[in-house]
Order: sequence, then structure tokens, then C-alpha cells
Amino acid sequence: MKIYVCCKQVPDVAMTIQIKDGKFISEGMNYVLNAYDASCVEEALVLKEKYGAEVTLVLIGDEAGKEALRKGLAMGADNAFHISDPALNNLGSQAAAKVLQAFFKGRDFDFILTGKQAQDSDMGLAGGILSGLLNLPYVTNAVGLDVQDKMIVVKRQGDEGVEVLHMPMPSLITCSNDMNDPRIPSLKGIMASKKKPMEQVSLTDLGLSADEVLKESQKSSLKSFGLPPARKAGAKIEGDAQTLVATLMEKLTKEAKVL
Amino acid sequence: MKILVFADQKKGKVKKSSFEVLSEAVKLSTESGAEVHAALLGSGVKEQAGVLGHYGAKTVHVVDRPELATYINTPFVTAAKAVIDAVKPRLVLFPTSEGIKDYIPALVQKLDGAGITDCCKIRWTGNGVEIERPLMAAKARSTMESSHSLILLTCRAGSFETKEPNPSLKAEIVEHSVSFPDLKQIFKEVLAANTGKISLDEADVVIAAGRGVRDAEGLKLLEELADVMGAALGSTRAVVESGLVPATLQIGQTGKVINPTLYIGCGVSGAVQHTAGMGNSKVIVAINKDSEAPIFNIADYGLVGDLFKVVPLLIEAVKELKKNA
Amino acid sequence: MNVEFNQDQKLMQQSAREFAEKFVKPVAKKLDDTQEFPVELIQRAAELGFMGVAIPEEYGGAGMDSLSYTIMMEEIARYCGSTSVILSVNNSLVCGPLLKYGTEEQKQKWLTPLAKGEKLGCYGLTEPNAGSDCAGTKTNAVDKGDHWLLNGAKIFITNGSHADTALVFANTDPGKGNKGISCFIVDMKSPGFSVKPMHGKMGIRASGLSELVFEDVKVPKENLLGELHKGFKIAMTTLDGGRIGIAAQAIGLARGAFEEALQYSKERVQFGQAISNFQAIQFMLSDMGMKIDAARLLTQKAAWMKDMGQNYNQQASAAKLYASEIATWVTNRAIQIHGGYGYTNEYNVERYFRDARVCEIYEGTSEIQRLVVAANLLGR
Ligand SMILES: Cc1cc2nc3c(=O)[nH]c(=O)nc-3n(C[C@H](O)[C@H](O)[C@H](O)COP(=O)(O)OP(=O)(O)OC[C@H]3O[C@@H](n4cnc5c(N)ncnc54)[C@H](O)[C@@H]3O)c2cc1C
Ligand SMILES: Cc1cc2nc3c(=O)[nH]c(=O)nc-3n(C[C@H](O)[C@H](O)[C@H](O)COP(=O)(O)OP(=O)(O)OC[C@H]3O[C@@H](n4cnc5c(N)ncnc54)[C@H](O)[C@@H]3O)c2cc1C
Repeated sequence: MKIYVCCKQVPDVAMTIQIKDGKFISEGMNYVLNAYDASCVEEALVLKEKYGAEVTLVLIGDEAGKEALRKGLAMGADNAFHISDPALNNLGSQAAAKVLQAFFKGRDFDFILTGKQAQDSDMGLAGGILSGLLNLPYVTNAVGLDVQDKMIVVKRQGDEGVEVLHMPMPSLITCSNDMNDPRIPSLKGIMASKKKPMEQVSLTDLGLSADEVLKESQKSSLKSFGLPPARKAGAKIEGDAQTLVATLMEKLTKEAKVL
Repeated sequence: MKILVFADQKKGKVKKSSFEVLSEAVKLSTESGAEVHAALLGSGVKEQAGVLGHYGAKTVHVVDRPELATYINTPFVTAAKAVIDAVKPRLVLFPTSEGIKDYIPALVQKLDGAGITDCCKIRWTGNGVEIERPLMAAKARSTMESSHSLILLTCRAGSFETKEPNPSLKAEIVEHSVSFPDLKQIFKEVLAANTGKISLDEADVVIAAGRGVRDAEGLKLLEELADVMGAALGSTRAVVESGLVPATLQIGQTGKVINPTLYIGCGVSGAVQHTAGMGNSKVIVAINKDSEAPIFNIADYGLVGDLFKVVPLLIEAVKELKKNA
Repeated sequence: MNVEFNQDQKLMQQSAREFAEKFVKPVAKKLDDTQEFPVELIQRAAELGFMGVAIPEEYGGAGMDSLSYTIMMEEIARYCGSTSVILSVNNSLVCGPLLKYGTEEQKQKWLTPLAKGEKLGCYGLTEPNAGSDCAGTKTNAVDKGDHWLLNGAKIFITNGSHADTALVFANTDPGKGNKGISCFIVDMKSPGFSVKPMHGKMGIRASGLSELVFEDVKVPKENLLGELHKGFKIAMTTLDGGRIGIAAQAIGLARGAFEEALQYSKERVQFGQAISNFQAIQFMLSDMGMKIDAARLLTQKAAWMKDMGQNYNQQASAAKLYASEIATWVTNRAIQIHGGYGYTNEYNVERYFRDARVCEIYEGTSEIQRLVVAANLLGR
């Protein structure tokens, strides 16, 4: 099997987020492989171990983005493509999908995995749009993946429960981090990843012009960043259980009036 | 100009999130002079279309077909596209659900529209929209703009005010016929379906179980509390991971975004990925034995104590209250 | 010297951090309470390659540099002193000298399983009457023709309770002091070799601290490490490398306590405001942060010099000395910022303080480090 995993490098959102004058402050932030993409890599590696597969990573990003690719390679992926061009900085979902469409043109694969969303934008559109552009069937928010009789068996977390779908090959699947617990790259894996092939791809290689990408980017544009309105800490109630419950009931009925 | 709102429904019943989005569309229509339409997709949903009129939709477009009985993205994309092609709106608004999150990307692509998800503020600028949306696990917000010819937005639950319905308002109901393509994917089944009790994203009161509940017995205690309060049960990811509850109960960034009137978190630490899903609740109560748990930073009422001691008493107190009411 | 980590080092940091957050943090308090050696945790660390970070791949190590090793040590010590010292002994005190002084056969036989983490090592230098001054070593090895016969005892031996292989320093030429000490690789399953766990420690309580006792232990001839009577030099150069690791450990502990204090100061309200608004608290915080940074730079410089093949004896001692002293200071301040709560084991800061304290003692006390630095300064 041939599996592609589309990856993104994102700021580590577990850290304190700093915003100044409407701009996101990237200095001092650690950049990591998007957690949802790490789950894609993990799942692809599990399938590789089970059935045999070649796992290829694709990332659009600047020079620093290579580190995220190397993390995926260190986990065990076979090779990687690094799509990089000054015109491709800070792409939105729609533009990213356009670039990836060009990348996948003429390539053979059994399926493409992408994270269900990126931890920085939380937009959740790129995977589905890419499948549309490639005219592939797709499913989002997968929490389980297997292959049976040349079909991909996908468990998807839906509104009413886990939906089980059989997808033909090729298809595109976006993965939730509830799918698995991505392995931590061993030091051996980290060292081995240096020797794995990582191919550099430019916009020209893709046969795409900066204008075509710009056209997608212009459909919507990011104006500024801010912090969410803070929710203030209310009353901390301490004491024995009786006191706690009595005080709470009093507050809920008389003050908040929600009971 | 037209604004089209896609309503979400469960078993033929329109969900409250739809009314919230419809109310917002009506508000936007006064700014933009637009006409508000609604759409309802599903099987056996026609009867429910009228209620959308009470919330201000002039016309309700219905695709009522057996192909839409169980959720798969392809038929929903086809049906939604057919309605949009017929109505030709400038702005399309959706509530948020796992189904809508699933089919919206293909719809955006097929219509060559501009898509933005999870909007919590929408303003009509005169030639498009300016929106705000949370990002980075809701630790930041961004402002975005679009003046594209077709803009599709999904709305974050609990961000907008729902207007009181006016039963004297009547909408024109238009049924659309759609031809569905053959499916490439095969739907097999739905596992671990919701138990049919109160659904999490609809509930006014939510009891959330965190790792502090420990085991099935602890969970039972919360189920009892939920029962006496007429509340829905939700949970953190830690509890889903432990296998105590199905993932449909997960609240948070990768789970459901909820906005109940009252949220009671029991043994929940308040990790950002969890609070990203419940920060919009009107009143937040936290029961946690660790007085430094981060959830206390956002709780209106933070009870520092052992849930195994507090919850049984709370159950009794609520029973007492109900008895006297 | 580059102050930005390269990609290998950044990836190492991510792996060590993930491991520490996921596996070390949740058990750190329990390890301190129960004083039980974390067998499973160390196995996991071994799978990730943390037992032989700077050992070449051909001998089962990860083939990374000393700077990477300090990065790992800091990330793990940030949550647990015990776990970090277990790793540091295996990495720098056991694998280190085996790589530097071992013959090819010794490397294949002893180093490889230790670097892979299939086996665990301990380092037996200190004796009841020979601490800072190892010239007083009483443990002796007598040449019996086809083997050495080992008798004596070692004390304060980290990993002793669970190790498979010990490096033992013994007197082979009585009366010659430092010039009569040799180093042996000893299989701890050898007859006559016994281990007695030591309890009642102030900190790093899960590190398997033990007494080693040798009663007519036969050690094969080929197990002599390095040259006969040259063991003192092995002990000293080994400690140079070890001190870089202990410096990183001290920094990790200081950082763990500092991060908790910083957070606490923002949450604790007194006189109607967060205590972080008080200048007295702010001054403590800024000094804590500054000292940690300074210690880290000093340590990274020593590691970098080692990686460059330079003589780093003075820098390793300076880094270890400074980092361990500021770790005691910083963890102590962290308790202060926590007030009465910090004095209880409901919070982690008192554990950080207890764990950090030993960094000023083992692998050479602060006094000994000052002697080393002075000897270098004075050219002695
Ligand atoms: C990419 C990503 C996405 C994620 N998405 C989600 C998501 O959608 N939803 C989600 O919830 N999490 C999500 N997480 C996980 C999240 O980071 C936390 O790990 C999780 O929310 C913690 O759950 P918890 O509060 O139940 O457990 P813990 O953090 O372990 O907290 C348990 C709490 O219970 C308290 N407690 C224990 N015993 C008692 C007792 N007897 N009485 C009272 N209190 C007690 C403790 O003091 C503690 O505060 C995500 C993580 C990542 C990385
Ligand atoms: C938790 C722990 C783990 C350890 N692990 C190991 C291990 O794995 N392997 C191992 O071999 N050892 C280990 N040790 C031993 C440690 O290295 C020694 O304790 C240390 O070297 C000091 O020796 P001592 O305890 O005999 O103190 P002493 O040498 O008796 O020192 C007592 C005091 O005198 C001072 N002093 C001594 N000589 C001088 C001098 N010339 N000038 C000025 N001051 C001086 C010292 O600085 C100290 O303040 C460990 C110790 C501890 C506490």
C-alpha cells in the first residue's frame, strides 16, 4: 500500500499564547507537528506494520517546517516531501488544499490521511477541500482505521455514535487524535530520520503560479488576532460537604437563578 | 441579497442550535437588507419545516428524501448544493455538528465558495462579512474578512442570541427534488449510539464527568445527579479514554462544543482542550478536591471538595428542591 | 558555540519532554513516597534510547552528542530527581568510561547491552571511609593468576539495588594511595557479591541507593578496565563527564520548582491581589529565572567543549558547582513563594528541594568542585 500523510507544523498551543497589537507573537514559541497529523502518522505506521506499506509525508512550510517532517520520519515514516516557497507562507485551508492538489496530480496512492484540523487555525477544511479537488471520496474525524478486502474500514465519530464506513481506494480520510496515542520518536529513530529521503518541492515544480494560490487565499483573509474575553473566576467555596452543597444550592437558586 | 441558513435536525426534530443561527441571520438581514431563507435536509423532516418560519425564515427549502436518513457526506453535499444553486444566496450559515463539519468542506469546494468555520461573531460590512472565531484551542481569537461572492460560515454554539419564536410568522415551504449520485463509500452501521437520553448539545444542564470519577461506580453517581436534574451527561477525554463513556459524550476541542445554562464539572481539572468546549456555558460549577485546579479560574462557583462526598448530598438537595417546587 | 539547538537536539528535546510529561510526571510523587525503583519507567526510557545517549550506535547507543544528553537530563529532572539520576549514572558513569577505556571485546560484551538499556549499570567508587578522598579506598583486588579476587565494600551506590553490572574501583597496590587503584567491570551476579539497600534518604529516594559488599568475588582477568593502577584517572575523567549530567539534573529540578512557583504566584491571592503583584515575590522570580538561565549556559558550554574534544575539566566542575548551588537556592525560594503550603507534601516544591540538595554532594561536593576550579585557575 501507498499512504500519504499531509502534515503541518504548528505552534505548541499548550504554551502561553501572546498577542500584541493584533499580531500573534511567534518568538519564544515551540513549533511542533500538529497533534492530529501525528495521529495520522501513527495510524499509517500501524497499518504499515500490519500489512506492509510505504508511508510518505507531505508538508507545506518554511525551512523550520522540516523539523516536523523529521519528527514523522523519526516515528517511522519512509520519506517526505517538503513543499516550500516564499509565496506559501501562512496559507489558509483553501490555498493549502490547492497546493496539495497540484502535488498529488499524477501520483498513485491508496489513501491520503490528513489531520481533522490544524491546532493553530482549528479550521478543519483543508482535507475535505483537497478530496473535492482530487475528486476522491472522503470522510472526516476518523477514530479508527483498518483495511479489509481492498476497502478502507473507517470508524468515524459522528453525532449519534461511531459510524462505520467502507471507503474505496483511493480515498481521503481526516483523523482525530482520539484515534491513537502517537509513539514518541526514539533517539535511534531521530538519528535514522536524517538519512531518510526528503525531497524539496517548489511552486514551479508543482506547475502552479503564485497568482493561483493567491486567488484561493483571497477568498477570505485573516485581519488580526486577539485574546478571547476572559471569564472571571467566581467564588471558591470551601468547607465540609454539607456547607458546600448548601451554599451552592443557595447560589444557584437565589443568585444565578438557574434552578 | 439572500442569507440561507441550514438547519440541523435529529430524528426529524430541529435542533436548538438551528434557531440560534437563524436568529443571527435575521439580525444580519436588518443590517444588510437581505432576505432570510432556511433549508432543512433529512428524511421525514418536512413536518418540522414550519417552525423555522417562526424564527424569521421567509422561505424554507426542504429536501426530504430517504437517502438522507442516515448521515453520509455525499448525499448531504448533493442536497445542500442543489438548494444553494436554486436559492443563490450570498451568505450561507450553518450550525455546528459532526455531520456539518464533515460535509461543509466538499460543499465549499464544489461551489467555489469561501469557507470559514466556528464563527462566534458575524458582522455585515456592506460588501461581505467580518467574523471572529476562536483558534489555538480557544486560547486566541482571530478576525477574518471575506467579500467573496459566496460565503459559507459555520457558527459556534452558544455565541449568538436566540430570539423568541413568533408562531404567527409563517414561511413558504419549497420542496426541492434532487438526483443523488451512486455512493462510492458504503455505510455499515452506527456503533455505541447515544442512549436516547437528553442529548449533550441540546441540554440546558450538563453534568461533566472528569477523571476524578475514577470508575463505573463514580460515573453512576453522576448519572444519578443528571437524572434528578434532568441534565445530560458529558465527559472529558480522560473518561472517554478510560472506556467509561462513549466518545459522543466528549466535551471540548475534539468533542462537542456546548453552551448549557448550567454546567457542573465533577473531577474535571479544566484543561484548555476541555474548556474550549464549555467556556460558553452560562453558569459554570466545578467540584474538585484540588483547590488549585485550573477549572476554578473559570468557574462561577468552585466547590473545593471530594465529589464522592459532595455529589450524594447534591442529589438529595436537588430532590428536595424538586419536591417543594 | 551555537546557542540555538540543531534539529537533532530539538527533536531529542521533544521526545524527552513527551516522555517526561506522559510517563515521569504522573509517578514522580509516588516514587518519592514509596522509594521504589521505577523498573517499568526505566524500561520505557531504554526503549527510547535514553540509557546511552552519547554512545555511538555501533555500541548500542543513540550516537548523539553531550549537549543532547544535557537536554534529556533537564527535561526528565524537571519532574523527577530519582529518574534522572538513574539515567545519569548509566549514561555517564558507566557507559562513559566503558567507551573511553574499554577494549573492543569489553565494549561489545559490556557496553552494548548497557547502552541499549537491556542491562543497568552502577558506579562503585565511594566507601565508608573514602568519600571525597578516594585514596583511602580499602576495597582490594588481589591477582590470583587467572583472576582477581575482590574483597571490601562500597557505599552510597545509586542503581545498586537493580543494576546488573558494576564498575568497581579497588586497591591493587596497597600503600600507593591514588596510584594503586584499578577499575574492574564486575558482573553483579558473581558469587560473593551482595547488595544491601540503603533507606532513609532526604531526596532522590527511588534511585536504588545501596551498599555493595564483595566477599571473595572472582573477577576474570579480562575485566580490568583500562590500565592496572590507573583507576584513579578513570574515576576522575569519568566524573568530569558525570558532572555535566548532574549540572543538567540540577537545572531541571530548579526549573520544575520555578515553574510551579511562577504559576502559584499568579494564582495565590493575599491582601486582595495575586502575590505575583508584590515586588518581593517578583524579585525572587526574576533571580530564579536568571540563575537557571546562567547555569544552563555554563552547562551547555561544558557539554559543547566536551563535544569539541577540548579539555573541559574546569568547566564541568564550574557548571556542576553553580547549577547545584542555584538549584538548592531556587527550590528553596520556590518553597518560600508557596508559603506554608510549600512546606507540605501537598505541593511538589518541597520534594524538588530535597531532590536538588544532593546535587551539591554527589559526584564531588561543592568544596571539591571549588578545588578543581582553583587547581585549573592556578595551573596546578
Ligand atoms: C489535541 C488535543 C485535543 C484534546 N481534546 C480534548 C477534548 O476535546 N476534551 C477533553 O476533555 N480533553 C481533550 N484533551 C485532553 C486534555 O488535555 C486533558 O488531558 C483532559 O481534559 C483531562 O481530563 P480530566 O480533567 O478528566 O482529567 P485530569 O486532568 O486528570 O483531572 C482530574 C481532576 O479530578 C480531580 N479529582 C480527582 N479525584 C477527585 C475527587 N474524589 N473529588 C473531586 N475531584 C477529584 C483532580 O483534582 C483533577 O483536577 C485533548 C488533548 C489534546 C492534546
Ligand atoms: C544520594 C547519593 C548517591 C550517591 N551515589 C553514588 C554512586 O553511585 N557511586 C559512588 O561512588 N558514590 C556515590 N555517592 C557518594 C558521593 O559521591 C559522596 O557522598 C561524596 O563524594 C562525598 O563523600 P563523603 O560523603 O564521604 O563526604 P566527605 O568526603 O566525608 O565530606 C564531608 C565534608 O567535608 C568536605 N571536604 C572533604 N574533603 C575536603 C577538602 N579537601 N577540602 C575542603 N572540604 C573537604 C566535603 O566537601 C564535605 O562538606 C552518592 C552519595 C549520595 C548522597
